[in-house]
Parts: sequence; structure tokens; C-alpha cells
Amino acid sequence: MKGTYLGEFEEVVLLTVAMLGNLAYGITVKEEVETRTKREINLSAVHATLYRLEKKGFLNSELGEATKLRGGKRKRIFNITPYGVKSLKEAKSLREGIWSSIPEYVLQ
Amino acid sequence: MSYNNDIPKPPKFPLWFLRQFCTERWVEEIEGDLYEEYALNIRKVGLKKARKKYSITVLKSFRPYLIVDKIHSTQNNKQHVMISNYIKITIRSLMKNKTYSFINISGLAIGLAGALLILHYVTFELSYDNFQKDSENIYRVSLDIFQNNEEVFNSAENYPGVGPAMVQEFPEVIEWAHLYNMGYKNNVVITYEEGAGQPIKFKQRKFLYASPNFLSLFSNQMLLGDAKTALVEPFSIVISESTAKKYFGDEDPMGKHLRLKDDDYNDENCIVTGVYKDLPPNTHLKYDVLISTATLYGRFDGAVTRYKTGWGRKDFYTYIKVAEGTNVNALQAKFPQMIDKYKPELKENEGKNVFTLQPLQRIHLDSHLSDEAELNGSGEPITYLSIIAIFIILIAWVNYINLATSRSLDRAKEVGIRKVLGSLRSQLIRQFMFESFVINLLAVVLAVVIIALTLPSFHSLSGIPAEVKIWQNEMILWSLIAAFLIGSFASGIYPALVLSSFKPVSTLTGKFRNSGTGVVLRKALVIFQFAASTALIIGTFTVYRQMQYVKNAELGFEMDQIVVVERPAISSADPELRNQQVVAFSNELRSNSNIKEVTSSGIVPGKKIRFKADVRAYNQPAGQTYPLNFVGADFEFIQTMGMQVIAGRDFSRDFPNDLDTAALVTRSALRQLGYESPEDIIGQAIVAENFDATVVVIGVVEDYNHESLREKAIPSVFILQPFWAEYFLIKVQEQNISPALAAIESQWGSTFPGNPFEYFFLDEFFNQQYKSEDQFQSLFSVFAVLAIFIGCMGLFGLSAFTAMKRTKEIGVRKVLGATVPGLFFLLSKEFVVLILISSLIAWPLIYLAMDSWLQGFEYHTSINLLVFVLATLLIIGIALITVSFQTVKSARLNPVDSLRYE
Repeated sequence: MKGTYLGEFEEVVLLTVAMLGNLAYGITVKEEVETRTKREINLSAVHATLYRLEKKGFLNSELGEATKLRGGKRKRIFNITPYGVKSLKEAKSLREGIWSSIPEYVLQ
Repeated sequence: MSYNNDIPKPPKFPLWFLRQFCTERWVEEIEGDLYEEYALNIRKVGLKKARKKYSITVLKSFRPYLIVDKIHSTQNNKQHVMISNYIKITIRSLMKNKTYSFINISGLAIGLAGALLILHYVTFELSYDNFQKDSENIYRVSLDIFQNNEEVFNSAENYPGVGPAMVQEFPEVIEWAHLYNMGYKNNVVITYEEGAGQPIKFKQRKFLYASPNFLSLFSNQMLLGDAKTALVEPFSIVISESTAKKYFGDEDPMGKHLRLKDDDYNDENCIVTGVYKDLPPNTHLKYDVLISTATLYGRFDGAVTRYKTGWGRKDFYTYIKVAEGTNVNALQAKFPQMIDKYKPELKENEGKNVFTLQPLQRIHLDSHLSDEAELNGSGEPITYLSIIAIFIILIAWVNYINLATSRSLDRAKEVGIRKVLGSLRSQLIRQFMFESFVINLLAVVLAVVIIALTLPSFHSLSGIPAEVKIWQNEMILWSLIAAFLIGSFASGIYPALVLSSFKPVSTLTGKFRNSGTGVVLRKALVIFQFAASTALIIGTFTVYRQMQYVKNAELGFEMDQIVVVERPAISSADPELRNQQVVAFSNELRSNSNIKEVTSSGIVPGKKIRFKADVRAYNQPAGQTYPLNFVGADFEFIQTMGMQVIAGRDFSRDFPNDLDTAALVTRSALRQLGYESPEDIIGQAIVAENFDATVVVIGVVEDYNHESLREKAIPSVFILQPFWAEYFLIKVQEQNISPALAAIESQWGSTFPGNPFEYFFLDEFFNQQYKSEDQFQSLFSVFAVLAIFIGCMGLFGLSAFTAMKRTKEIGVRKVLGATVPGLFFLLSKEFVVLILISSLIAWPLIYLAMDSWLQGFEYHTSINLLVFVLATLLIIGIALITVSFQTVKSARLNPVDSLRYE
């Protein structure tokens, strides 16, 4: 299991990258996660997670264009890999499996 | 979003730092993202916060994955090879001379730890009230009262009507709030009666009546209820989170009833309308309970004037908020006109009031008026301690420079070889700078360990509450980084320049002697170190002497073995019954053999005088009065307090007519009442105009210091009123304190049932006034010792090298017949001369500093010049002992050994 395991924050970031299509890079991911979780997140944490996910093979990336807003620096656009999609699906079905096994009276 | 040319550049240093640890693979995109976030943040939260955020994010980006990548990327290039060589050499040279490495690193670490701890204290003291939103625009209005152009009273409290009037008169004053300070003065018990079990009751000291807008003017975080409305209705009570826990446990406090009772017979059943988060410790105004001021308005006819709009009694803390950018001096200049309008009677009576705006954040350090909400700190210790912190860290750096340059002899050969093999000077400088960085880094780590270990004792020493966390203080973290960088650079650059300048030929031919390089600088540095140490010793002694003086000074009364009990908060509304209780309580205790004397009065030394009466002699013209402390006391008051009657007689039970007619005055009141000699006033009548009372003076007592010796003795009038009894003063037998206390407690329980029993010892209570001085004294002494210790560590290392350098000379001298004492003298002479010079520098500076500190006391000891001489002798002594470890060793060395080594 080690290597494919997704931490909570990792999963949120991975989902967000998938959601953003080809607009996902450091800032957009951070803003999106912040608005959705209503938590303040440090950019450095997002970077660390993105690179870790890339290293694990869930994401791939390429350098995008440079804009003046970025002080002339290029951005790295992340895309989810098929492997990433697969593990997201696995995580989802794992949860759904457990959900469906919860006795009715607990959820009432 | 269009590009905006005006976006200021992000802070340079963090950017540079990022580029250092981040490899090319990632640096561009991270930098870009950071910049984009920074630009967004400028719009969202402003430039200042955006810059801060930028720095923090860079710091947080300093993560293993980036650093590992950086290390991998540099592993194979030339630079990396050189760096690993530097590391190797650094470790070897550290290991070779373990003593010196130890002195170096631990000296730096102790210095750093000491300086940071002081910084922790200083930032805490300076942080008071800066968490309040818009605190820079909030002011407290203080009141100075002049009578016949003489200042008679200055108070933190003001007339209740001042706040509303200011908002009405001046457009720039946009909000006001005032608080009626009861808990500190009156005896208040608040009870929760509706609970399942016994009523839960607590004496509440941190309790205030607050006007509706107080909660929102001060940034109270409401956990329950609404800050805007919680204090609007009468009988509303708002409590802190922990107070709510005390009364209600885990139950919902909202809507529950709490009943207040105080010793003015108020009985107010209030409903909880809000709960706020406990206040941080760094605020000058601490409160657990607030009750709406509207509660006061129903107390009696005219209470609204008395408690809301009136300009009569002066007992409300008044805070105002001014509009952004208001010129405060211009605003203050308009106050006299307003005072004339609202208080026209002042002019007729030769009186004058002055209002002053006290910035909220400065109240804790600068304000020491009557009726302060708590004992405030003081700005002076902050300055002195900051200076000490700087000294300590400078001394530690000086040590490093001294040791590093004096060790140059050791490293000369290495420098020579490196140069022969093609090292450039710049590379050598880099090498030695690198060493300095490593040593400083080790010192930083050790300093953090030292701080962590000593923090609990430091907190109890300095009085910083334990819940203030040092590592949450960003200032500390930045200072640590700054101290590390500055320290590495400042202490590394000079040795690096000296060492790298050696000529290979002279170092390698074996004739190289450290030809006086840097001797002058080294001496100057030693002089600086010892000047600082001498000054600190003298400072410590002087502060100690003053504190001894203050604590042992004649106060004009005796406070040993006196137990003080405040009058009961809950008592009968029937005055007859109350008086009977007071008499019963006192008489029962008098019959106990463990109790020497029992008396009562309206005041207790160490507690500020609450109000003064307008008093004149009967034969002085009406209206021309002086504000004197005017207070009721029981028959035995003077006797129990051990005050001295200098003319006439004391109150006495042999003269039953004394009751309500007789008065005693203190010596300093004589002049204001128009008498020179104490005998002349005996038998004369004096009038307290606002009390409508005329009394006859039967005696004069010597002045006594009611408050700390920072203040002058207060002119006072004591009248015989046994039922005034706000405090019972009970003198107990020294040997039998605990049975006496038990007796008092049981008597309290039977005479005043339903009242919690609390007591304090008069001497402890009185000396609490010196809390901040005590803290200052202990901090000063600890850090002075620390500075001296670090200085001595350096001296130890230095003397070792001096002795080593002169090994051959000593050998020759011994062969020629020098004695061991003679050699010891020879080797020590140099240091003694340096210390004498440093004393000459230190003396005048510390004299001026201590003189200004002592001026802050109304009663102070003189500066003793003997202390100066002693301090210098002490330093010489310490230095000689330090140096003697080395000098005696070298002096006793067999010349055969010392001369053989070539």
C-alpha cells in the first residue's frame, strides 16, 4: 500500500488539480482549497504536496507561460495522470464501500 | 487582472534566502507563485501584511525535499568538494582545542540565550494592549486636579460624564466607553443560587460596571452573545469563559442568573447575556465580570446623573476612540474650554482640572496614577534590561573575536600551506567565515536548549505569566536568525581578514610569531568587556542597596504580624446590627490570648487612598480647603499601627466624648492647616467641608508612608469612628500565628455568616508595591552575573594563549632566577591595567544611569562611591582568579620542558 496511500490533504489537493483541468498551478490550487475548506493554507504546504504527488506519479507537470503578474516567471501547470485518477477512484470506492456498510440507525 | 507597475518589490532578503536553498529545478515557479500571491495579498490585506506573509511563506518553504535536492545537486561540483573540506577542517580544529571550542560555543550560546530571554521579557512588556483593534486610536482620559495652583490629585479615573461630552463636543472623538471600577475597591461577592447544589459564590475583584459600547470598543472576542447589545439592558452581566466554567461548569451560561452583593448593600440579580474569551495577560485592564452601567441607573433618584452624565464624583475609567489621523495634541488643547463649560464652578473656587489622553498601549509602562486598575510596569527597567541584553551579546561576540585572532598562531601554518597550494585570499576568507557560521550555528542550537531549560525559572523570576509562549513570539525567532547571521558575520570577518593576510613565506619558515597583529584591538575589546562588567556590578549593588533601603526604611508605622481582614461583603442593611457585629467581632478576638491587638479603619497602608476630603482649619476662610486623607479609625488604631504621637494625646477609651468629635492629624497636614508647631493645633477645630463635619484636633502623629516610598507621605486626618471599619487590623502573637488565624476564621464565620473568609498579612501586602522593582532587581543581578561570567570565559581563553605565547620567555626568566610570584605578577599585570582603564570608563557612565534611576524614588539612598571601588576590586579579583589558572601553570613549568620544545 505504501506509495499509493493518499493523505487527507493530499487527496484534497489531487481532487482540486483534477477539478481545475489545465489551470492547476500553485496559486489556483491554494485559493481553491482555501475557499472550499475555509482554512488558511500556506503556499509552501501546497508546493510540497504537489511535488510529492508528482513524485508518486499521481501528477505530471509542464512549465507554462510567463506573465508579468508573476514578475516574469513561468508557472508549473499540473495535470492528473491516469494513475492519479485510478487511485482517486479507488479511494472513493473504498469509502463508498464502508459507507454502504454503516448500519442504518447510526446515520439517523 | 492587468499588470500594475506600482506593485512594490517583494522583500529582498527572503527572496535571496529562497534562491540559496532552492534548486533551479523549482526556484522559478516557486518564486513566480510567491510573487503572484504577494501581488494578490497587497490588494487584499495591504503591503505590510503582504510582505510579512511573503517572508513567512519563504521560511516555511525551507523544507527537507528542497534542501535534499539542493544538496544532491551540489554534490559533485568543485564548490561542494571545498565545502566538505571546510567542514572537515572546522571539525578538526574544534576537536583539537576542546577547551577553547567549548568556551567559544558555550559563551556565545549563553550570551545568545540571555539576550533572547531579556528580549522575551521586553517584548512582553511592550506588547501590552497592542492586540486591541485600532489600539493606536484608543486613549484613556486621565484627570489632574489643581487647587490654588497646586496639584492635589492625579487619577486614572474621571467624571462619568466626560466620555459622552467628548463625543458630543468633538467630531474627531468617534466612540466612548466608561467603566465603574468596583471590584478593586468594594467588597463584591457574586453568587449563583439556582444551581442544583449549594449556591456557588466567589469574591470578585476583577469586576467592573461597563457602558454598552465597551465590548466593541475593546476587541473582546465574544463566545456567546453579541458584543453590541450584551451590555445595553440593566441587570445584564457578561463574564469570561473561565468565570463561566467556575459558576456553571459545562452548562450553558446564557440566561442564567448571578446575584451580586457588595458592602454598600447593593443586591443586584443579573442575567448572563454574554461570555467572552479570556483576556490575554498583556492588558492593563483585566476583568472577569462586567455588569451593564444601566444597572446603576436605578439605584436611587438622580443615579443617572451620578453614574452617567455627571461631573461630580470622579470614579470612572474613561476611554475614547478618535478618528484615524487625529492630531491628539490639538484635541487636548481644546479640553480646557470643555471643562470650563461643564464645570464652571471650578474657576470660582480657585480650582483647575486638566484632562490628558493616555495612549492605550503606553498605559502599562508609563502610567502610575491613583486608582490604576492594576499595578503597572515601568519603562525604565525595560531600557536598562535592553542595554544589558546588548552588552551580553556583544561580550559574547568579542570573546569569539578575541579567541579566534589570538589563536592565529595555531592556524598560521595551515594558511601558509593553503596559500602555497594555490588558495586565493578570498577562498581563505570564505573558509574562516564558514567556520564562524558553523560555530555560531552550534551556539544557536545550544542557546535554544538553554532557553528551553531555563524558561520556567525565568518566567517566575520575571513575572511573565506562564501562558506566554516564547516560541510564538515572532520577534524572538527573527532575532535568533538575525543574531545568528550578524554574529557569524561580525565575529567572523575580522579573524578571517587577519588570518588570510599571513604571508606564506614567514609562516612556513618557522620564524613566524604573531607580530603584534590586532593586539590593540584585542586590548580595546577586553577593556570594553570589563567596562560593561564593572558597570553591571555597580548597577546591581546600587539597585540592591536601594531595595534594602526601601524595605527597611522607617515608614512611620509597624507592619509586622498584622493580619488584615476586609469587612464582609454581605451584611445586614440595618446599621445598628452592623455596628454591633463590628464590636462583637473585635471584642471576641481581643479576648483571645494569641491576639495582641484588634483595631479597624477605613484604609490600609499599601492600598491607594480612595478619596480625599476638602479640609480647612476652622479659622481659615470657607472655601479655601486642602484635600487631605480623611478617614475613620478605631480607638486602638494608632497604637496597633505603632505610630508615634508627637503632640497631644492618642484616642482613648477613657475619653468617651472622643467619639465623632476628636481627630488626629499627621505632621505634614499642619502646614496646610496653617500651623507651624504641633502643639499649637491641639484643641483647635478643623472642618471637612464636603463631609459637613467639624472635629477637634486632640493630637498630632508623625508622618507615615501610606504608599510605597516612590511617593511622599500623604497628609492625613484620622477621626475616631469605630464603625467606619472597612478593614480589621489584627496584631497576632509572633509564635502563635496559625492558632490566631484559626481563631479569626472561626470568629468570622460566626459573626458574619455567609461571607467567604479572606485575609492577608500587612507586610506582604505593603511590599507587593515593590513587585516591579523586585523583578527588576532579580533580573538585573542574574544578567549582570551572566555578563561577567561570559566575560571571564573569554579572559580565561585569552590568558591561556598569552601564557602559551610566552612559554619560552618564562623559561628563560626562570633560568635567570625569576620567582613564581614574580612571574605571576608579570603575567597578570597586563590584565590589571586593562581592568583599571575599563573602570575609569565605566564609572561615570553607570553613575549617571543609576542617579537617574534613583531619582524616580521620593526617598532614596545615596550612591556610595565605595561600591565603585569595591566593584573594580571584585572584577580584578575575579579576573586574577581566572587568569591564574593559566599563569600559575606556566610560571611553575620546569624551564627544561618549556625550553626544550625547539
